[in-house]
Amino acid sequence: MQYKSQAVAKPYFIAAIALFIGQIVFGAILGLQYVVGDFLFPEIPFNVARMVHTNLLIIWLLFGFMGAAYYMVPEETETELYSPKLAIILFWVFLAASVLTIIGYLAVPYATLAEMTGNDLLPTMGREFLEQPTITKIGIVIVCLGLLFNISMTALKGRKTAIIMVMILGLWGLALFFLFAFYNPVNLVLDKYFWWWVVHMWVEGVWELILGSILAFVLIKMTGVDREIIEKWLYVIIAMALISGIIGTGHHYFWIGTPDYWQWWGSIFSAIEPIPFFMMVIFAFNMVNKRKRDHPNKAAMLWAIGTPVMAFLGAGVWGFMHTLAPVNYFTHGSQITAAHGHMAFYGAYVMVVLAIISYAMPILRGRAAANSRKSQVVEMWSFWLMTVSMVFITLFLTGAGILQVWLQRISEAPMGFMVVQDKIAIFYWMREVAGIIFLLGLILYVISFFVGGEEETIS
Amino acid sequence: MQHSDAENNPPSSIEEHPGQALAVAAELFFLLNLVFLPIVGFIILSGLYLRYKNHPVPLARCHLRQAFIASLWSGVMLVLVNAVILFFGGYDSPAVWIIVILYLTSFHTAFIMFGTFALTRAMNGRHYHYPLIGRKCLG
Repeated sequence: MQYKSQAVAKPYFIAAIALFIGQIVFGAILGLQYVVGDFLFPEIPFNVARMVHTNLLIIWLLFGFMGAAYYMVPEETETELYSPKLAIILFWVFLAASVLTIIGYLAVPYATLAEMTGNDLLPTMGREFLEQPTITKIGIVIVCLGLLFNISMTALKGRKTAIIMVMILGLWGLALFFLFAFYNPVNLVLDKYFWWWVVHMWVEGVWELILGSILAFVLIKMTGVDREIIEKWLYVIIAMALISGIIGTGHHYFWIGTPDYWQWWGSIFSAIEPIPFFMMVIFAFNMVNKRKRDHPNKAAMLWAIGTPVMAFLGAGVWGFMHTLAPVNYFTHGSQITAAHGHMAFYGAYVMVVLAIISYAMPILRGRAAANSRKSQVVEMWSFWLMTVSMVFITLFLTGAGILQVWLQRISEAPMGFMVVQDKIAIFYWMREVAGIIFLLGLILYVISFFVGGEEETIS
Repeated sequence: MQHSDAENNPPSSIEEHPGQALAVAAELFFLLNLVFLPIVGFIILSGLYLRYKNHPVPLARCHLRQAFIASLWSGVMLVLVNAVILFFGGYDSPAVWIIVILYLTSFHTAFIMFGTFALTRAMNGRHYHYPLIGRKCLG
């Protein structure tokens, strides 16, 4: 570890992995509830399991991004963190708020929780993914502002690299767009319109900047390719991500009551959204081909080159599949969306966070560069188990979605939603099996941290 | 027909490796045929292949041949499956739609991914052979 203050990243990464486990356990429960409707009912109703699954995803990714920022900023700016103490305080605040929120979801009916936490003042009910009580949202804002203050002050006193500027821009965007979570107009069209300013602008906008900067950092460290080359790629990728992603928000406006022109804007700009992901694949493989060193952390390299590939497939290909308005007219809100969501989140964000954890954790644990070969083999097994099972989850959900669209919306005698859910149960069962394998992969990933052996060093 | 050396070596000032520009162009048109310029991309790639298939530099020859053959395969896979579906009664069934969409997405994407790997290899002056359908390049 080059800078002492980088150590603050470690608890963030550990919390991220712990919450990731929670997310996948609830995913497995949720998957089973699709086919065994009363499984764990009334203790964990479907809506609660879904809320916990999606909220944990967001929270652990945020922990991962924050950990990445605290690890990368000192090394990039070549100076110690402005306030390591603030970073640790914010960690405990965020962890306490997250855990209490999840306990709240599980212990109290959501309507009661909402009532207890000021739903009358700032409504949270009916806001998918943004169900967090207002007090939690305020906590998230405080933590984000604290993080931004800390890393911006560090960047101001140190070296300013493109990677760190892009990351800070991404994190500022993350915090600013989250403020729309507090805006909840009575008009349902406006409500949905601005709801997407958080959800879409995060995952198809500013988060891509964070993704690009983390990937660029890991690739510089692991390949030894000149910074100038990597930074040029980064500029072009983030420019394309913003050009396509910002107006691409329109693909969420097709059927919510907004003007018709959004069908054109949304279709055209979201059709070019795969381009930055495609460029990311070329970028990553180009850097690997140009590499000047053979880094001993093979597992981290696997995560790093897996990220753009899976992101291109999940966000690019599966996104494009149903993004054009005439196609989306039929597929909107079907299991095809779920298929896209699963692979896109895994490819773009889960994998990049695991890449930086895989790269940084051995160093944070006092090793020169990498874990032992044995440990890396276990981690690489976990990579393949999780990645291949995610491909199958996506394929099964796509199959379910196509059948759902046909039976519910295309056939001459359209069936009701719940009737169709019964007809597509076979796909849900297969998805559940793939989900369990994913969980096994994750368990293996955790085990890899405890596998001993002689550490690998840079030759 | 054999071409003169001048014809076989299109001048390029951006090449780090001999034959690299042609190799990159071949993989680029392979990808364009799959993504933005179907048919047009293939016609240009075919033209390049026919003109430079005997190029003296192995790198250019390798990528041209690989990209051309992979293009033919991608076309065959597309036409063949559609022909089979039409032969067995057409598209008017949900099962066919599930198979077709999953098949086309998976295979088309696989070709795009391998084309991308090939392109990055060409950009770095390295050979690439497509799995299963490409013969190993020598030289």
